[in-house]
Amino acid sequence: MIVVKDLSKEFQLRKRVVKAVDSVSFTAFDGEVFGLLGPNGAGKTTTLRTIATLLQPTKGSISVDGLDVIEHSRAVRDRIGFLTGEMRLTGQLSARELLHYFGQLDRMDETYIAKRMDELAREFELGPYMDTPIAKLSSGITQKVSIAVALINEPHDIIFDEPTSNLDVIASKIVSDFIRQAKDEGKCVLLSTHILSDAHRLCDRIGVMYEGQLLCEGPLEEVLEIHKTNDLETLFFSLVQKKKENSL
Amino acid sequence: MIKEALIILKKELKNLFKDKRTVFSTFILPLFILPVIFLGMGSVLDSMEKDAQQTSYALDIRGNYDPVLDNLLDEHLQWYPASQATAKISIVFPTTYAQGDQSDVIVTYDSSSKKTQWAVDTLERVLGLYELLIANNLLAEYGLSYDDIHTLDIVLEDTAAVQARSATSMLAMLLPYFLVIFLFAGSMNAGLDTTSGEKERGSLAILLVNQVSRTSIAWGKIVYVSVVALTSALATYLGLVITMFVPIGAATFSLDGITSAEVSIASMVVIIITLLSTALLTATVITLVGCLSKTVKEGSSYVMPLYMLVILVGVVTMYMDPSTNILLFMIPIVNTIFIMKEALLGMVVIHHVIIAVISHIVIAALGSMGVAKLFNSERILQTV
Repeated sequence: MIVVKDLSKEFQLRKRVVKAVDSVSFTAFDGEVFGLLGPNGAGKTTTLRTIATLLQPTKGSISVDGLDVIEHSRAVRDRIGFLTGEMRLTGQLSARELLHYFGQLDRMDETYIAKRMDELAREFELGPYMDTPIAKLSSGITQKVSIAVALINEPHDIIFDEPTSNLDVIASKIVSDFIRQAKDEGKCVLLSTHILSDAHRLCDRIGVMYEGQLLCEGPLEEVLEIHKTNDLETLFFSLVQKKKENSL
Repeated sequence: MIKEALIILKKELKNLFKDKRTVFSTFILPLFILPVIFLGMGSVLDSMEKDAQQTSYALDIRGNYDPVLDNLLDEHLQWYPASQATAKISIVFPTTYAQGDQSDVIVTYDSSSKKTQWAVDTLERVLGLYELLIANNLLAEYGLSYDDIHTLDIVLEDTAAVQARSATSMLAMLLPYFLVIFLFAGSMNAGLDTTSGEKERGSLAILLVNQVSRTSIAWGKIVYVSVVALTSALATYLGLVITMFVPIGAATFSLDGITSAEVSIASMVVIIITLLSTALLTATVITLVGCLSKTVKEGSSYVMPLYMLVILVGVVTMYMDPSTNILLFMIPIVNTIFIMKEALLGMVVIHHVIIAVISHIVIAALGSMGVAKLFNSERILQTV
């Protein structure tokens, strides 16, 4: 479970301070998919990177399975699998070599690494491609390898930043199937996306972000009902409109 | 920490050595580029000279019809008489010229042709011999010969060590330049690919969400880039050794009779130690620049001016003698070149080597701290 409380994140630029995330709070439970929605620049990626211990919060707190991300950053990293849609694995190493490498970096012993590699190869049907250089694999298979890399340490919490952007139909389906499967296994899945149709298909609960603020949060159907709409696009524009009116 | 850094180093090297194109450009190309350049240059110069010797030149000789001059020309040059309009070279004596007169001989030619230039150089020698014959004839009228007035024989005795003689000096001039260039060029691609390249591919974020300490990641990458830089430089060195063993290559280098055996083991050790510390230094600087850049393109735009600076330093110091100025041994790259010059000339000064290596290590340590600090801060992550 991921609990974000009153999270703010500021970046000090040369001449000004940019508030990328402003007092955001939400909870992503185990066995569900929580989606952070919003346009580019809304603060979704910053929020996810702060949860993944890549950035430090300016204010507020985050706990992953009860562990504070600042005090227990290494233990948190042991609990999470982080993947970004921007990731493009390439090079001459094979899937087996890459998985072994990331397993070693995760301080897993050789037996455990071998066991996980077998499991992941079976789960993602990577068997015939395990010893092929990544550069020679199709985009779909490469995406499967990327997911396998993020899961080598058997994480309980999966953080996905824009999982389907930049992906073709086949690779996108692979990711979607994996997200549903992870949810069914009782894992906590937190993803960010600006593709509203993806969020509608995959998420149990959503949070809509705009200009660093969380405009609403809750179960998808409940949120739609409260705002008297059937689709996320209308919901998003109505929330943005309200925010603009309030700030005037 | 060391174990984790070694895991990263091993992975990066494995990835590099599995990529045939990168292996070719980083190690094979430096190994063969210099032999190819020098052997190519040598054979082209050789064939040009042979071609120039075999060509028959149209000469327009005016104002002097001495058969002695014709004979001398026959001995040194293939030629045939031609009119002023068709001749490639004109040799004009004054119309009133008589043997023994003091006068100007005007040689007209087109210097844009290498063959004509070679012929004119030969003509100068022939005219010099002709003048000597005339002088001998004049002296004979007084019962003397040229040997009677030739009072001084200049005997040059070179006191320099074998390594420091002009041929090896040529090596001392060129080798440091090439080694430093290839060392820097070798680390550029690897350094940027493993830092800003990983950012662009989104894989650095995955690496950082791991159990491994970020300082280990920084060290793993710096050592990897150092190994690539050093290997690239050593491949260049080996390439030069190959060139020196091939006669035509040695001739191009003006290295007749001098082989790498003339460079002592101690000198080689000094060269390798200096290269090692320089590799660490350049690797750290390039890794630091790569960490500060969002993309490989941006990184390249920062690294290129540094590369140009290295080339400039290489060119400026090429003709300089080894210096005793301690300050020069504190300046990176400049000190590398001077230490290698000293080593190749058999003039190694140990405290120069120590100062240079310490200066490299101090700067590399500061740079490594900067890289580690970046990996441990959000600065690198904001651009992930």
